Amino acid sequence: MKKLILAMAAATLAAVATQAAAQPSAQDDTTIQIVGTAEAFCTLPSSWQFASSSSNVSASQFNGNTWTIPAALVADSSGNAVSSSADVSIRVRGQAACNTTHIITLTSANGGLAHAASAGDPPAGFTRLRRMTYDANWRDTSWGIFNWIPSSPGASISYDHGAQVPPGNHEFEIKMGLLRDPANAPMVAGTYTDQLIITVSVPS
Amino acid sequence: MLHRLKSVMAAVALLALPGAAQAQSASAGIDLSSTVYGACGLGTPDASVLDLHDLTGPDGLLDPAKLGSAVLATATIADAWCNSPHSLSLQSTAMTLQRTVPYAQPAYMARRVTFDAKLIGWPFTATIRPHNDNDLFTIDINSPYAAPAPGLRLQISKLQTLNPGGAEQAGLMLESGNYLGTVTIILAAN
Repeated sequence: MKKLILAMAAATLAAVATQAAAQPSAQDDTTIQIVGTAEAFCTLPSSWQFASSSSNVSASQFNGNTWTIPAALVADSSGNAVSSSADVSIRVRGQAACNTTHIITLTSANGGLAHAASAGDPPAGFTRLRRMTYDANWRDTSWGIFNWIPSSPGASISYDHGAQVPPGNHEFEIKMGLLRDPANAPMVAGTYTDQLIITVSVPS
Repeated sequence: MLHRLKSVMAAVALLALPGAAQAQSASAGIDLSSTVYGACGLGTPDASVLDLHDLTGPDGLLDPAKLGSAVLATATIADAWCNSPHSLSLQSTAMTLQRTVPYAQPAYMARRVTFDAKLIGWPFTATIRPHNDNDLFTIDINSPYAAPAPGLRLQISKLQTLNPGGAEQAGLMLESGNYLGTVTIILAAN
């Protein structure tokens, strides 16, 4: 009988131990992460539309990506530079986008409206450059570059948007103005050009 | 557990035989009792991170290919079971921009993306579409169940941007950066 009691005790202990070891957690869980990325990006208009101008400039002067400034606004029939404070400007715009901070850079190829043919050998006693003023900004905001007057070929200027809210889908505007400062000499005949390059870059 | 129980029973039988031989006119009964508790088990998923890669199209909005019902990513859990009535829960957080932004969220941009997280392979297909942190969906199942091969599958589809108020709104541009959401699968014995 004693042996039986011992056996029962062993069985009881064994059963208790079995219960303890076999009791798994009543609950189990696992977590799966879902990840993705929104790439930083900015776009500029693929084409620009006329928006507004000074009274002496018309929409028809803007075609494609070129503003053709009437010769009479630059020099008179005698070749003398027109000197006037009257505004000569045009504003164009198009749809752009940016989802992050960014840097807007303007570069003027000629540093103003310049007689490109004489760039390497400017004739003495003539004027071969009219200054230009440029704006490049997100429409109806202060985000951008205003009243920039390039002073030399290849000159550039930048605007850093910093930690401000991104513009999202937003129109982007360019305003170009001809400054008609007094000149002390007649202008060289020929074609005057500048190329304004607008860059919106995302910091790496 | 069954194996261990068998071992115990064998030991009891061996110990009890000599006693029975000595007491010819006596009998003794031994009652054995044990319990199998309700429990659930989930194996390790074959993928703990489901990478949806670039969420955006060239216009900065959600990639149209990610808006529909096409499955974008799947994780499989081969070993899932509950040995008793139980509950299945999905707890999920919407995909959220992971960088700190020093300005209030503009109405035209999104910092959160919801998705369908559909769990199939259980008696009921469970789907959660989180708009917040730790949204919860729970369903009770009145029987044991073990997922047949290939097991439980968590499928992600139907992304959509959330506006600052947490409502789904198409056409919002995503702020740049990395996004992270979670889905936690919970099996709990009742």
